[in-house]
Formats: sequence, structure tokens, C-alpha cells
Amino acid sequence: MPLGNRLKELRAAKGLNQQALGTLVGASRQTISLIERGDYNPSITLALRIAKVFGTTVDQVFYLTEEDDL
Amino acid sequence: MKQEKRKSGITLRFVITMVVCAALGGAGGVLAARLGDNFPEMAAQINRVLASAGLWWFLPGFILLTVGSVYYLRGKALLPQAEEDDSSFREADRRLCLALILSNAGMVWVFVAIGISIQALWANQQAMWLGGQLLQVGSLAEAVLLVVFLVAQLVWIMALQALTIGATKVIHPEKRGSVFDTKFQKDWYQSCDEAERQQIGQCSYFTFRLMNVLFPAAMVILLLLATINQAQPGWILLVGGLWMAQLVGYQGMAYHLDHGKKRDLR
Repeated sequence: MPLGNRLKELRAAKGLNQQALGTLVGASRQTISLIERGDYNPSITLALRIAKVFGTTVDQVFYLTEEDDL
Repeated sequence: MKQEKRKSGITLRFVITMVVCAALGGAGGVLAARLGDNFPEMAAQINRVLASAGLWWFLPGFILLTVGSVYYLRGKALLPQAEEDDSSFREADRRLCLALILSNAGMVWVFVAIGISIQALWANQQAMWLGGQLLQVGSLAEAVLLVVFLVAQLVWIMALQALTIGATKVIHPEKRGSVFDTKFQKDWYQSCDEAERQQIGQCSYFTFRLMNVLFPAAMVILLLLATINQAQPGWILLVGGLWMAQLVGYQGMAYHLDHGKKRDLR
């Protein structure tokens, strides 16, 4: 998975657990857990919602971890 | 260059697969022809052995449900911690998921057990007219036990599924649907978010690929049996019909999503 994230760190800073974040962005706790582990790449809509909850931009939450082939 | 090498690799693999399949088919045909004379007796012997287990066919179902119940209880025990602790949540979810898989496997198995047991009972009924009083009593007891086992397993399965879904809803409060409702799968799907729907798609595609191996394999076996007059037309129609339903269902849905007017998953 080339997509890394700072979700756990941001969540801890804001004092939110996975369930609470999931409720705020309209996703399940399981999905938040999958995103944090790098097992699921969120849609643009979900990524934007997550960034909005933390009052930041998407590229501050998600980043590419490997060089793309393209 | 890399692309060309890859293409020739695929072609070579296809040719090898075809040759191996042809060889296996030839060997199967020769074996079927050799066994042709003895096959009816051999098949009858296998059927007698399978039927002789009688009500013991229910045993694997009880084992599946017992293990499933243990997973449910172990998952339920983690629910209080799962509210706060993320690793407990994942472990509780895993255990409840296994409980559901085992109860679903138990559901399929109960149909296998009831089918073979009824077949065995039917064979006993045929023998009853020759066997006399003792066999009649034995046959009646077996029929009563069959009903008891069937009802016990069906009630256990429904209870385990309802409890497991109930416990799952504690850690996934957004989930909707009741196992007693015919719309359960639709309601559940509609309460899933994008990641869960993607997982459902991956699971469905995996099953599609698996069945695309199993259906042709079952059909080849039936065709081999047909060459020695041992496959009933009904079996061939049943397997062919199921295969057709799976293929047309999958590809029809793909067509509908691409070109149909209504794009909602029904």
C-alpha cells in the first residue's frame, strides 16, 4: 500500500477513539481501523471528511510512502 | 520486451494447462471405461457406506455449532473492553466473525445430513417389509431422532446467528437488519460503508472465481459418469443450471450496472 497516514496521531491529539471518528465522518469503526493500518485507501469524499474533522488538509493526513511507477 | 516475454509466458502456461487437462481427461476416460462394468456395484457400495452412517451425519453439524458457540461466547466476553480498546474491538470482531462462519457452515451441513439421513431411512423402510417387527421399531426410533436432531440444529443455528448478529451490532452500532427478516442481507448491505462494500465485492469476486473452478470440475465428473451410463440427466441439468445461474447472474449484473437504467445494487 503506497498510502501512509497520520490518522492515529491526529486522533490521539484530538482525544477521539475510532468509533467517535467513524461517527463524525460517517464511516464504521472497522473502516477507520482498516485505514489506520493501511489496509484500505479511502475515497476522496471520505478523505476530505476526515481532514475536515481535524481542521486540516488531506495531504496533511495522507501521504504517498513509495515512488509511483508513473 | 518485458510485455512480450510476459505474453509468451501466458501462452506457454495456457498450452501446458490444455495439455495437462487433455491428459487428465484421457486418463479419466480410460479409467471410467475400465471401471464401467464394475462401476454400478462400486457406486452402490459407496452409497451403502454413506447411508450406513445414518444419523451420525448430524455429528459434524453439532461440532460446528459447538465451536461456533464457543467463539460467540469468547467474542461476547470481550464486548465491554471493545467499547474503549481498539485491539479488543478487533479481536471481538474476529471471534464473532468466526462464530458466524461456523453457524453458516452448520446451516449447509444440516441440509446435507437431513438429505442423506432421509435417503438412509427410505432404504430402511424398503427393508422393513422384509425385516419384521424389530426393524420397524428401530426405524421408528431413527425417524424420531432425525426430527429431534433436525429441529435442535435449526433452533441452535437460528439462535446462534441472532445472538452473534446482536453482539456484532454492539460493536458496530450503525449496522441494520434482523436475521429473522427476509430483507436481512439487503438491510445489512445498506448499512455498510464504502470500505465494507468493497470487501463484500472482493468476497463475491473470490467466490465467483472459486465456483468457476468447481462447476466445470463437477460437470467433467458428470460427463465421465455419463460415458458409462451412470449420470442421471437430472444431475447434469442441476449442475448446469446452477452454473448457468451463477455466470448469467454475475455477468447480467455487470451488464445492468454498466448499461442498465437503474444502477442501484438490488
